[in-house]
Amino acid sequence: MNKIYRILAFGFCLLFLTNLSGQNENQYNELMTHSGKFYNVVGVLVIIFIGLMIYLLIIDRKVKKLENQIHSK
Amino acid sequence: MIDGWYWKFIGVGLIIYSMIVGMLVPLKPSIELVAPSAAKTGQQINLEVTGYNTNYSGSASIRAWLKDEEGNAVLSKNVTVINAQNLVANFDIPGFLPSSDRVVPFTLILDHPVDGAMVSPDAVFITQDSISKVEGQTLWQKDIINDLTLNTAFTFPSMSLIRETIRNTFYHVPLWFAMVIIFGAAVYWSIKYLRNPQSYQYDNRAVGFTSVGILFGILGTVTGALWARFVWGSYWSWDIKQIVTAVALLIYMAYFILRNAIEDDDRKGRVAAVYNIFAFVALIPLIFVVPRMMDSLHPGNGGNPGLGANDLDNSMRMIFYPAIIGWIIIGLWLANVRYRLLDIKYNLMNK
Repeated sequence: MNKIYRILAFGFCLLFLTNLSGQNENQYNELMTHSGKFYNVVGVLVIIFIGLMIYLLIIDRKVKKLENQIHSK
Repeated sequence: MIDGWYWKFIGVGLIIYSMIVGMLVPLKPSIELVAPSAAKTGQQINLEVTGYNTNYSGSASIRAWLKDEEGNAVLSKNVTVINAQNLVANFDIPGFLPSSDRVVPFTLILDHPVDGAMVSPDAVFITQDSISKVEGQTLWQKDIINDLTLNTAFTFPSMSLIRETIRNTFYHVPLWFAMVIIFGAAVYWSIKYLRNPQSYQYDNRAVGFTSVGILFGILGTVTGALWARFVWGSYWSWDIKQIVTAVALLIYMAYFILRNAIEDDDRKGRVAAVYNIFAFVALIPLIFVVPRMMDSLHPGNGGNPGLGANDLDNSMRMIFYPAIIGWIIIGLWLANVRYRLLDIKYNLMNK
């Protein structure tokens, strides 16, 4: 289970890095300034969603730990 | 704390409302670009105007004026519409300016019968070689800007540089409002715990609220950084507002480090509760007082880093306030799940 989380977290990081890395910088900047910077707002919404999902992940891990404790009793 | 499920749905509903309406309502038609930006007296100039969200081709009777600070204006001779976003306004600039300065900035005002009046401040700088204020005042007229159309459609303000990102007001700012409320709730439970140290639930509630407060704080910082990248120019510009929020969040993160460092449960709870009170006492001056004492890029002029009176209009308030309430409810919900889990864990460990 832990492995899945690590892969997921790595995936999130990768998503951000590919967006922000130098190679795509120009495309990314164009996207963000295109049509009155509308995609900047989309980016903000995506960040909030990712943040909530990470919090869900943390709670999920705590539930898992509790489940393990109950099973081992 | 609160039984039932309905309040959670109110929170979700308010957030969905703020997202749908906040994204779909268009910006007020406005002027994006005016070229050329310089002219001389006595010239005939063709001002190429690029609009944003405009529908220039939808009307044949668009009027344009150039106006200085004191209200001296000249009407455009001829306005030629090219397409929905572009038009050319032809002006005969009089031989003298109504000013004794050599260079005077003029504001372009457009009036469209449907889109309403649009203003581009300091659009054209006009230079005069020979100065005669008296002559100029006869050539430029006062009170010729009349019958401006008011656009009553439900729109958000359109500001240069910010443009569509004004919508972030509904997503970035409420996170901070909710964060302060939630940290306040955490302190409330910490104080209750100190007065009644047998009630482990109170400590758990403080932990739950603090963790959600940190989540909202981090999200507020990251969304603010993305917004800043395309308005201020870089993700992190060491603005005073950014520095103090980072310091405040680090103080709160130390709350969890402190908890993990203490083995004994009773001591852990009491030390953490005292620390939480100190953290909140540090938070309030950090985010509300310090930024106001220094220059900041953050909205609000004259060292006021909060929301200025001009940053919210009535159309935005109808989405902004529900969004704040929605995020506070979501925060309560998240904290609620977190501390119920801690209560279960406590009961399990102490059976």
